[in-house]
Amino acid sequence: MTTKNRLGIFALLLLGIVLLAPDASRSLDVTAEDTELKAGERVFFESGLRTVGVRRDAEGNYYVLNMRDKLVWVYNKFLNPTGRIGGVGMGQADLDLPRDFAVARDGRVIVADWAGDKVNIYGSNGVLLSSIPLRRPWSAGVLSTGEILASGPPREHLVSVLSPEGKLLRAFGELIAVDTDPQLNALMNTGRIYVDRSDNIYYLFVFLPTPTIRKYDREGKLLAVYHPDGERLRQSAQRAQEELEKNRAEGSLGGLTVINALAVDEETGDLWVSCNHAIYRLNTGGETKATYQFKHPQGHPTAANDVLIEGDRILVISWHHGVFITPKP
Amino acid sequence: MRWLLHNSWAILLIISGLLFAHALYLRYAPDYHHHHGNQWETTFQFDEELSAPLPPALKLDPKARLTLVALLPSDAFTNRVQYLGSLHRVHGGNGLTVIGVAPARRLRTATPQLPFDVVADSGSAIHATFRVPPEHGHGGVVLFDSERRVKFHAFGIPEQDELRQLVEKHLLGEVDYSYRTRRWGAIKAGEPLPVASFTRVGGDGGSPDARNRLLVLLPPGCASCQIDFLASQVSAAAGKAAGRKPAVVFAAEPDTQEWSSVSQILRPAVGEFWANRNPSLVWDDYYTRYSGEEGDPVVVATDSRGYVVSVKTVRETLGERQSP
Repeated sequence: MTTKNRLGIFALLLLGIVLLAPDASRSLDVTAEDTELKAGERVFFESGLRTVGVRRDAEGNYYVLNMRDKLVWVYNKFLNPTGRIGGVGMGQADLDLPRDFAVARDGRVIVADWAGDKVNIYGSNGVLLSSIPLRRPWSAGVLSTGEILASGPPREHLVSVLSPEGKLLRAFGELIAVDTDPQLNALMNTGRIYVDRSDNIYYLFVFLPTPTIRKYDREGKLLAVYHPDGERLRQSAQRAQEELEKNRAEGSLGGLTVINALAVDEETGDLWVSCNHAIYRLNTGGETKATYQFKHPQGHPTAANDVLIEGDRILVISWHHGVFITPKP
Repeated sequence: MRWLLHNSWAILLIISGLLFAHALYLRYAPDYHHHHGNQWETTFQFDEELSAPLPPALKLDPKARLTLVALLPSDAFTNRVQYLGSLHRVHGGNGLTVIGVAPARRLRTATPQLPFDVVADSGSAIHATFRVPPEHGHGGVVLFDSERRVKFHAFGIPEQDELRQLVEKHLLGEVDYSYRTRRWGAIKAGEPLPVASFTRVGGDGGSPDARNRLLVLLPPGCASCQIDFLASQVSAAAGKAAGRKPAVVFAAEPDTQEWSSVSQILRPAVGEFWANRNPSLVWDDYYTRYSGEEGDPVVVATDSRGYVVSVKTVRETLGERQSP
């Protein structure tokens, strides 16, 4: 099998994982540790199915990434839609399969276009400022300096730091040795980037069967490693381990999502980690303070694919249902 | 026989050679998995011009502002291929031309009930032009403008809403991202109510009169239990008839029990009931983004000529909530 063929299969498998991820935990048992977190009002109606995440800029505007429509919806602080960024198509400003995004303090929007093999940088008015060619970018972040962070299935380092023009400035993050197959190893090291207000960089391993979050400073110095724990997370990790073993035995690539996303509560320093249907609240030392089972307004458990913490409320993003606002417990 | 025995080694050698050649063909013949990135499957760039003369079998409409060539897949994406027919129906008059292409030997199986032209690609010249191998199981799509600049190219057929967005973007210049409630397909404001599709239920069973009507169209599959739930809304909508005579329309001929329970619940607010006998009237097949209000009845108002004035959901009519 040629390298191109293997890359193609790898890409298809990753896509499959993304599409199947919300279903992976559907049969998870309800555990005694759960506190119910019921979704409140649904907001950002324009972005429904396949909403990936929500970000907020310094002025209070919201940005909602929708993978199906391949665009970012822009809302003002009153939650009214004010614009769109990107869209379907093959043009440079269009997006193919946006996986993640970040919003800089000056309002620039950075989108990791996984299938488009690029990281696009847009002005807050939606105009494309630059397009950085990058192989299969999975996640994107931005520092207060304007430097852009990007990650994909990594081979040498977890995170690349780029100038706004796309020049590679540095790279950091040591890979975890999971398998001798470089592609499987890259998959197991695939992760999402989150940057807090102090420019601490969090890297969460999405597929690794050992739930792991690393914290770096802006220069890439490792500050802490967290291994969030809880019954649901253990169940997800066990299934991910079984999937990994199966794929090893079959010589195929694939994995199950263990951790979906992370957000930092800037007031308390708590880490909010979404793991399929559960949301974990960790203290600054990484110990679990509480576990919440996210539920749709109609009462059924729903996957929480991302969270945004602001003041006394949480925005929970569901791949299947859109964005809900609920009071912070 | 003696000749065969005498030359058996030579014959075996020839047979082995043929088998080897066949194996080589299977290994290197155009195929999705074996030919990614070769000359057959190099994707077009955005705005790249189709510089080579197009094969004569592919007859383009000189008036077309946008042409969608679909290299039809063998057995995949059935619904998406059918959806190309919806694009053809809705945008054919706006300057869109949809052309299907199938290998000559698959022409019959590839084209059942497709409303657009499908051409046989003898010699695979069209497939070669659009860089999709004829044996590619997933087919492909190429969208280009009147100056033959490629606006979109994909291996396989994109899903319905993406196709719609692509065509609207490059044909109309604006994509409709709104969510809708499913409408009754062929009932549109500004057009005559297709009254011939309806018959009156109960009473004299005669032909309905389309003039000055306020019709409440029940969603297909609506059972009497749903009518219980919706009765107040339907009655309230009928009460807003403003000089128009209200009637409730079943999506299909109701059975006696359904008709009986519905009429009991809705009288006296509604005194007339119709049934639709034209399945093609039910559901618009172009728009595939729905708000989850598919179960809402639709209210249609007509004028004194029998033309449709408005098509709204019950909720919109009552002003309870606008569709997001």
